[in-house]
Amino acid sequence: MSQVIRIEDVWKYYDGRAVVKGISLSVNKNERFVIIGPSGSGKSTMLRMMNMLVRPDKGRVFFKDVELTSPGVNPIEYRKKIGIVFQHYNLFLHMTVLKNVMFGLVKVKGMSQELAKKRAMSALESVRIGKNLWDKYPSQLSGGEQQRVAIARALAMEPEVMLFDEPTSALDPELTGEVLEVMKELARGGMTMVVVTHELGFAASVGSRIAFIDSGELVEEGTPKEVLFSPKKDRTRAFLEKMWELYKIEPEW
Amino acid sequence: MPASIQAFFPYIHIIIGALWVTLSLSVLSFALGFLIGGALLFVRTFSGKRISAIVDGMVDVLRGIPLLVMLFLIFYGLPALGLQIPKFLAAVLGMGLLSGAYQSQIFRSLLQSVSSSQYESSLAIGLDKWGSFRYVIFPQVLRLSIPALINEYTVLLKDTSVAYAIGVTEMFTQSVHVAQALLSFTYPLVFVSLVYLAICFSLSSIANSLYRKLSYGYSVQEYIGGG
Repeated sequence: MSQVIRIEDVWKYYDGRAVVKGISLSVNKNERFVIIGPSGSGKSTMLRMMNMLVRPDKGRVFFKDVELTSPGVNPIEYRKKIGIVFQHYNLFLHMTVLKNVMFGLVKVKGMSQELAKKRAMSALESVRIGKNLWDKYPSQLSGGEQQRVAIARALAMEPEVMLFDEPTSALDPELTGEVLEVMKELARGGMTMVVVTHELGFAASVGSRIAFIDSGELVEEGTPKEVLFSPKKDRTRAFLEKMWELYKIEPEW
Repeated sequence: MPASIQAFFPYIHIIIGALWVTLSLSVLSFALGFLIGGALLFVRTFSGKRISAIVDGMVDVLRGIPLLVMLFLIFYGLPALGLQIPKFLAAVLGMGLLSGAYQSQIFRSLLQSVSSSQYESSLAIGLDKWGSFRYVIFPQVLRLSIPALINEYTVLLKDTSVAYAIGVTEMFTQSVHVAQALLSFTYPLVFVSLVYLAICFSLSSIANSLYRKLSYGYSVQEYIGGG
């Protein structure tokens, strides 16, 4: 299988404290790679290294065959091929919904307004954002709608991989459902995805591989069945017990 | 014995005639200040702590200089260095520099309302730093700044009267000339005050009505500014 993203022994320090400690992993084409772990475990930082929004202090990051951490490589060129969706949507607040999606097409890809508009419209339709919302501003939308627009904004760029940083953590359960539904559709369409999430249900049903990260370390990696239902490491087990308790599900062990 | 108001009427056009000097002086120095403030915002957004600290230091120094002293420094001080600047231009420079310092403070306070995640998402989409600043950061800072910028303009408009001291014949200067001719200061000064007031009051009303509208969706602390 061809590899889309690979990180090799990446480290990141903030104020002298290591938040990511030598993580290596690779994401293959068409894979749904799910990352779970406690808050503050370095998951988001690690995800942001995959498109070089955060530059690792040590280690290497590859997009396909290109080493993004190599001094001669400008990561900006590759970011347009790596979509990212943030926890707090981060839509451009001064632009309408339609403009938000068109923006990257016009300013980054140099597409004509017309073509960009067409592409943006179909991206918005694919995440079920109706025409009535296209001329609204992000602040006039619900969280779920904003997040779906954010997904459309990333999708319109036709990325080869999509990164999701806790895309439903800021949403209430009802809105969480509509966003997860869109993500499931993406997964069914074969999109390569890296998803940081606390939604274990989603991880179990959609994930093709799961990694558990704690205090900046990759503790365990495997299929959903292996990691979620028969974890090998005590740290994974302790975390999942707490999570299952939250979901009122009895662990099988 | 003060002159009668009828005696003052024929002189009104002299004062009003200088209004365009006042307006062009204030507009030009505002524009210069805007360019300086915008440039400082760009530097502050993208440079490290050390350069930001240098910028902050420069702004603090500028803000500590009284306008009158600044105008004298430029108009009377620079010739000693072999640089003679015409008085109108000296006034634009002095006022523009100080306004740049104030405008950069306005931008700085509102830059904090535009969350860094806006910058992050524009980078994520594939824009470079300059593109992010131009299309995402600056438009939002500018939009939020409009009310405070209008207020800053009203301050500049009134401050043009200080240019009297280096001999710029703006509106206040002409009102003093009229007063000297009439041998009475009352009517010319009350009149010129009313002209400043009329312009400033209407601009401030616009600024206040815009404030709520423009900051919708942002967490903005009102900029407490002024000269």
